[in-house]
Amino acid sequence: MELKITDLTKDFRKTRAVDQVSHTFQSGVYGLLGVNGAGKTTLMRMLTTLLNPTSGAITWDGEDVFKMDKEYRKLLGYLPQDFGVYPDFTVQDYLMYISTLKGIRPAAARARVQEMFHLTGMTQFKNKKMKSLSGGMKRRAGIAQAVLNDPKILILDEPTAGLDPSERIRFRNLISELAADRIVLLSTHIVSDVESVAGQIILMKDGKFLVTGTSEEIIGSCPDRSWICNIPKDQVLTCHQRYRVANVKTLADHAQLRILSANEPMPGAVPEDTSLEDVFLSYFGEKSGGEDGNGMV
Amino acid sequence: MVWYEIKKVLLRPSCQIALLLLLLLSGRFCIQVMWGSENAYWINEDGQMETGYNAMKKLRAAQAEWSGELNQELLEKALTELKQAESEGESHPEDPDYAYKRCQGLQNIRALMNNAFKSNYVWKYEDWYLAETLEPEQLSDFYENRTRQLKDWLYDENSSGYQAFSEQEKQYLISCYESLETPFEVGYTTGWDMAYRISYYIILYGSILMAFLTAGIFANESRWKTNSLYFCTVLGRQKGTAAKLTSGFLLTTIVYWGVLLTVNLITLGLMGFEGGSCPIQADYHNWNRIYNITFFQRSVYALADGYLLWMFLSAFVMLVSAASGSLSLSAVIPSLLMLGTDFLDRHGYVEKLSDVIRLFPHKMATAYGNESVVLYSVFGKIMPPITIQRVLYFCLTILMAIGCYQIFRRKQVR
Repeated sequence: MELKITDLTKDFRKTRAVDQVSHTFQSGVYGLLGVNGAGKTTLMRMLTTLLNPTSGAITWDGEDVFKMDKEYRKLLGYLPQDFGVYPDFTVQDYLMYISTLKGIRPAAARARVQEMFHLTGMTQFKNKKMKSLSGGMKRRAGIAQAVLNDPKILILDEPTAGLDPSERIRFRNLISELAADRIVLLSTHIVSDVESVAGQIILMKDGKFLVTGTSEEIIGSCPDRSWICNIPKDQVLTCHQRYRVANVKTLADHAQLRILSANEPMPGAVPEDTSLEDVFLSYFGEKSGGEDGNGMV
Repeated sequence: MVWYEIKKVLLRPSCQIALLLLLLLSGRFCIQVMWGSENAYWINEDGQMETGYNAMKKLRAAQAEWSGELNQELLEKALTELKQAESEGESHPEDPDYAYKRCQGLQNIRALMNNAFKSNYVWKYEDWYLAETLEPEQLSDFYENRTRQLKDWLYDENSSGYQAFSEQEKQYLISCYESLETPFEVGYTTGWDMAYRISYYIILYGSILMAFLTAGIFANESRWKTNSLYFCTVLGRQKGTAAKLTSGFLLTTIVYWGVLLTVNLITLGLMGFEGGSCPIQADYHNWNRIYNITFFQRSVYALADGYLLWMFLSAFVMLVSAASGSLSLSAVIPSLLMLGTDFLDRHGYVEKLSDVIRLFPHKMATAYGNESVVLYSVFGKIMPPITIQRVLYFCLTILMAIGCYQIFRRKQVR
């Protein structure tokens, strides 16, 4: 079970969305981290055959996935970022329809849909129309449709975007449950999501893979480290201009800053353990404050 | 899969409104045609005009006395009755409608006589009282006159027909006229005529509403942002796309035949089935038509042509829908094709393109109602537009369905 991308490139007119990326995915959860516009969605759309690459190859166990066509798509489960639904279908209709599209026979589909209701806790909502579901419930229906065919490759594009904290935790746990014996590729710009479920992390920027590895390896690769500095409140702005500030905590008589720097930024700065969020900020800098950045610094 | 596609369409409130409008529109056309005085009326004893079902019952009973083979005997009988009513009418100066009221059952035969003995080949008689001036011995020329008028029109250097047709086309027209079986049958045919007229309106205007039903089949996938999921499923690009096309055509078929057959059966049930075996020329309005078909055949052909027209439009709508991903564009473009060309055609804005415009789809709905004679020569064979349209739109429907399938299954999602 090996999904391999080799020199994968995608150009949109003058923009290069994905730039010669290569990687081999084997069983496990992969977290794809990057800011908006990093090329994550384009990469995922190529992996799901929704887009043809400009150059490079995607192979499954050595076979070109575009030549495999239906055989490859049989292995796929996909939850898109902009997950749309058929508004007038009930949840049950929706899942039965997707089962049909996935080539699951009706009797097997009925049983599988029931399983999905239990897995996602949607049994009581099965007769609700899709348009009446909350964002969190829609995402649950989304994950249910993605795993209906018990896919070998599960691709989840920003699955927790727009969810409240409790829904996000529920969702992360669900992904962990589903991770056994399959490749799960989870794209997000919410660091804590990746940190909690992904065995392997890929940092993506400007269409390229910056760093890949485990959480520890990624943290170890970061040239900066974290420092805690206590400064007078009126110097906060100056520090913002001089250093990469990961966090500001305003206390009664002073401010406490978390600064990312290779060297001691100021006398009295106390070194701290570097987190994945610090690494994210170190690599992506100002751009990392995109929408939904509640998992970041 | 087809069922889910149909369900997607039928569950949309806009489609439910379109279907409801189609039903209301059909009802409106039924009332307009059945109760409209231009289609059938009865002058009662008080000289008042009656329309609608009751008028139809009286007209039907009166015409039943004058139905049968329109041979010399019936023509002479009608002429005698007309003359007698006219002379008796002179002794009833207080009632100017006396003669008309007495002869309401044979007014169609009178108009046929007027047509047969009018001085030249024009589409309608000019003198309503021409029939009363005829002598019985003249009536033997009743059928021959029809062909003679045509020949005069085609070969008289001063007539409009002289320049309008090639020799081959003239021979074609003459052969159409000569092959009409005579003497033909006359009788009450209003039920069939009304059913045909109602069908025409529904086919033309209903097709616009039908476009709204099929417009979303492909376009909604991108509108609802379900396309990215749809295309990465096992069957989405192949069987899924085929199912979408099938559902579009199936929906068109069910709605078309459901509405048209119901409306035709109701109209014929109310207004009468009789007269279906009469040739269309038995109605004086159709005296100059080149199609040698009965009223029943005309209805069958018109419904079949209308079905082809709707299937063509469905294929066109789905093609635009699949290519553009836009719901409004896919609903509007085919509507423009139907109503826009109809408008240009009616107002003569495109004189130079008139020969081409006559082959446009909106003309299929009026194939047997066109008063002007237009012929086309294809590989040396002369034929009316409807023959070309049938082949053309059948082929285009298939080509567009294939095109739609190929475009949609290769869609990429950015």
